[in-house]
Amino acid sequence: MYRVTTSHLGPDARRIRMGAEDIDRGEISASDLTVLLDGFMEIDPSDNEEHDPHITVSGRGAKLIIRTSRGRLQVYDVRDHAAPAVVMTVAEVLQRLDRVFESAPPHSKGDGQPAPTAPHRGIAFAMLVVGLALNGYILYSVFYVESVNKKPEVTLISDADELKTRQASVVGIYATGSKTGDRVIEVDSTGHVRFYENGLKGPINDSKDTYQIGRHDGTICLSTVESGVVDLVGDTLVYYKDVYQKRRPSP
Amino acid sequence: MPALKKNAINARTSAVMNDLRVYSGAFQAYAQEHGDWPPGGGAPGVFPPGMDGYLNQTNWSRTTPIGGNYQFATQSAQAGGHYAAVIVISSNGSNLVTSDANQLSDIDRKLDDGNLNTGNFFLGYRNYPVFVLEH
Repeated sequence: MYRVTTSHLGPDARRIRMGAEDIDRGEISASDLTVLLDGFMEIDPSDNEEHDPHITVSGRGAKLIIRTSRGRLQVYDVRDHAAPAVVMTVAEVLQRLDRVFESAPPHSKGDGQPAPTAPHRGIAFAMLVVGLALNGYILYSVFYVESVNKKPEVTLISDADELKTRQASVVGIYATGSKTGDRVIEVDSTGHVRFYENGLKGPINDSKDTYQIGRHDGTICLSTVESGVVDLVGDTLVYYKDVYQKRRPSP
Repeated sequence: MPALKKNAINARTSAVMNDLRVYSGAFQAYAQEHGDWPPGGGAPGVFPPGMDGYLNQTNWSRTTPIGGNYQFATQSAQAGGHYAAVIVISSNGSNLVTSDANQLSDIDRKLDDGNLNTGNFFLGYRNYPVFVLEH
């Protein structure tokens, strides 16, 4: 069934009726609509030019405004005012009114091109996913920084007795030497560690951190918060390949 | 954007290489005239004593193109050895030197042997870049 409104048209739509602005004809069948449109195409050309008679039809898939010119139907989509008229036969008008998935796409130019269908939407979705993935990869590659500072995985010592023994043995002052340019690591019993370099006028590059005792790859180590890992090898500390000899117990 | 990132790495590499070329030339000029390196032991960004007339103090003290500050050191303990004279690019407080492996490797490829563990440009204490003037 189709909902039909006629403008400036008589009952059979073959003639102009002055004063008949918009007449709601209710819902009519496909055959009645066919008769109405067949009659509409026979309207007098001069009357047609002067009064702009037209028929508005709503179906399941579209709402159309139909005008006529030289015995042909010119069809406009109500939901796409910018689109030009499409010349259609009565059968094509009925088909258009019934096509649900092609109903009045906003970008339809009314040129007979089918609107996006389900497969098209699938392709669009796939392209969207690919685009997002590409953007993600680009952002990742731009902002990802492979650092040279990779901290090894350290397992902290949890056994209280072992921890106490290790703590007592590691406390002290360690150095690569005693000259300017040598480095010093001071480990105290309260979990603090100090790093510095012997400078011309005293310690330089002086920094402090906290540590916990643990193991990595079978080696006992001090795992610090910000300064990485200091290995304990025998009675020495090894830090960034430099060997620090123990000097004397921490005061 | 990856191309932009690569360009940025190239630009920083060129700037660091230029700095190291100029600075190493200045220290070597000093060494030739005085028979020894100037005294090391200065903090990062601190102008090495005796280098007036050889080095531009402002340039030496500014942040390097890869962060941190330049530091001249003698008898420096680095990566298990002692080096007679080096220029280190050190973090200085919150002014951190980059840890970007791509950036550092790019400098090493163009300046040295491409290996950050060997040669005259390598990663020393705390993975700070070290440029060797004399072993």
